[in-house]
Amino acid sequence: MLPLDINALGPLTTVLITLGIGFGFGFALEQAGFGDSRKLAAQFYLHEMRVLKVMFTGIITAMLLTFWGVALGWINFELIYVNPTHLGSGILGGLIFGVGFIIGGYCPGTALVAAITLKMDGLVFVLGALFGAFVFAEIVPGFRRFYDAGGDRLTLPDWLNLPAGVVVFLVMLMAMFMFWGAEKLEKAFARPGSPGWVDEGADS
Amino acid sequence: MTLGWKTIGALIAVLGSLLLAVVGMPGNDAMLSRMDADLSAELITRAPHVDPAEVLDLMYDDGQQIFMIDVRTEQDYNQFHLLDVRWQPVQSLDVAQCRKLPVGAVKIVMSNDEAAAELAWKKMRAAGLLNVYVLAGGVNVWLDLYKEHCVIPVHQTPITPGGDDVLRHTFERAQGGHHHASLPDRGHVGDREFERKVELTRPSPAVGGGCG
Amino acid sequence: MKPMSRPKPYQNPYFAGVMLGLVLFASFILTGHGLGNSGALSRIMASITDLISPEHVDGNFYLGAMAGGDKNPLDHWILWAVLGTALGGFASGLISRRLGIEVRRGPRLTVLWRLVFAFAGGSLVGIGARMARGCTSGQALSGGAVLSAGSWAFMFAVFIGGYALAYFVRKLWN
Repeated sequence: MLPLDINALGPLTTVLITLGIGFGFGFALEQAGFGDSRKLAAQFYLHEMRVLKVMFTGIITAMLLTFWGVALGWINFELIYVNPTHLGSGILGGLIFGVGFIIGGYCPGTALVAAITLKMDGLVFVLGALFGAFVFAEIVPGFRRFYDAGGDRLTLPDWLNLPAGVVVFLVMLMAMFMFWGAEKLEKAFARPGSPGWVDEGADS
Repeated sequence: MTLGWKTIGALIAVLGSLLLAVVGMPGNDAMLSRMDADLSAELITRAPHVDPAEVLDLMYDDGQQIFMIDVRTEQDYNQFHLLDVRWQPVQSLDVAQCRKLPVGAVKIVMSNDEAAAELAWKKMRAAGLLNVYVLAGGVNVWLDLYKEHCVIPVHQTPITPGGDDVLRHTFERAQGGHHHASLPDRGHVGDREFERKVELTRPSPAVGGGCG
Repeated sequence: MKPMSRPKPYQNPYFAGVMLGLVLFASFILTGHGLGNSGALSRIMASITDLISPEHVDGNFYLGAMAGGDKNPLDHWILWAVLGTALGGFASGLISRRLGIEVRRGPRLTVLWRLVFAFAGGSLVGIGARMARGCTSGQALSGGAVLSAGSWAFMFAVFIGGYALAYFVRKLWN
């Protein structure tokens, strides 16, 4: 029954697996063009919806595989880490994150990939993020109750009171709609060189 | 008509999820049949059976959250039960509700002897619940130990599995959770020699969560 | 080194997304958890803070949970994951001929201002990510795939925050 019992594998195997997964992640990010802040920021100007396409495709791929694994009885879902739901801190944090993203042009993972491929703005962003993490640790005792509020293991099926398979299907439909919309926006807001720009028919 | 990769991919994704919605996640009974052999084997090792003294110790342990689930009949429950148990007769055990209990909490299931508790334990394990244990000897042995005060010879008797899961003890009147044996004195933990069984399993990683 | 000549074009985003999804799925079944990055930021800073003032760490609940007393904040899988991510990103940049010192910036921005904004944006992202207990990899991708309600809420908040401010900072990128 999956997931594997990581404790039973031994520390060396665990480190190797973690390194390997990280490697695959960083590789995929750079391949996707996410080591480039201009490409990332372009998401918010609608002429290149790469971030949305990559993120949502990644989510639905992993989601479909995981829940099929559960349906076939191969994966014990209770042993999979489900991020606890802290609505207040999660939403406020998300808004601040979004603002920082459009100003700085990266998120932590992509900035790391940018920095390692020698993009100086990525490196400076990582330094900024370290600073931000430091600041957060210093100020969070001031609003601990807000920060700690919530924390349940709450999935969308639990919240919507729908079977997991149905929610997966609905999320899939939403993703397809967003992909369709993204292609349309790329065409509408295209500029020379962007994926939706017509004259060379570049496949985005 | 040639379909582009995007269309093919989208079709696979949508149809794959539609099929998933139709097939659905396995129900508790299905998972139970699938896992029955392994679960029975685990029960035979007695690893999930927790000594009453260890349960008593946990009841007093502020650092460890526990939930005790009593799966006996309403009548037996009313006669006597441990303090702060949740009553859920095994036939109508609400596994979905049990799933909402905190992952890191220890769950102890109990019946008069062990039969019904073991069935409930299997159901909860089949639902993927972690840290579920059975009260060794059940309520009968609990009362053997703690109903009268300080019966030392009984404390040395090892617990033998089996029994017909019928409440052996009688009470002049139903006392529910108000009997002194519902929460015996903490000092009784030391009266017995027992093997500690409870070991927390957590979905990794525990504290700090996925992204640290 | 200067940027390499003739860098390969970026991958099709849907294809890259599938790759990403497969890595994430592998993570779930091999380790039981998803990806992560921002936690490493906190742990690295906690480690440094602990070197300078262990008493300060012990007195702060957030730092204490990671580095209080004897705890080693760097003894956590996320540090290995981040190392792997850096290696993977480098490898991809190398084989795609996309390595090279440069400052990616909008056409109207000087290098200096770009770096100022990179630091400022990074600080906000650092705060936001730790406030939300995750970033786009840990929350949006990993939490999103297992349908965590809080992760989806975070994801939408990120997009809303970004789009809300986009017009006002358009000169940074366009």
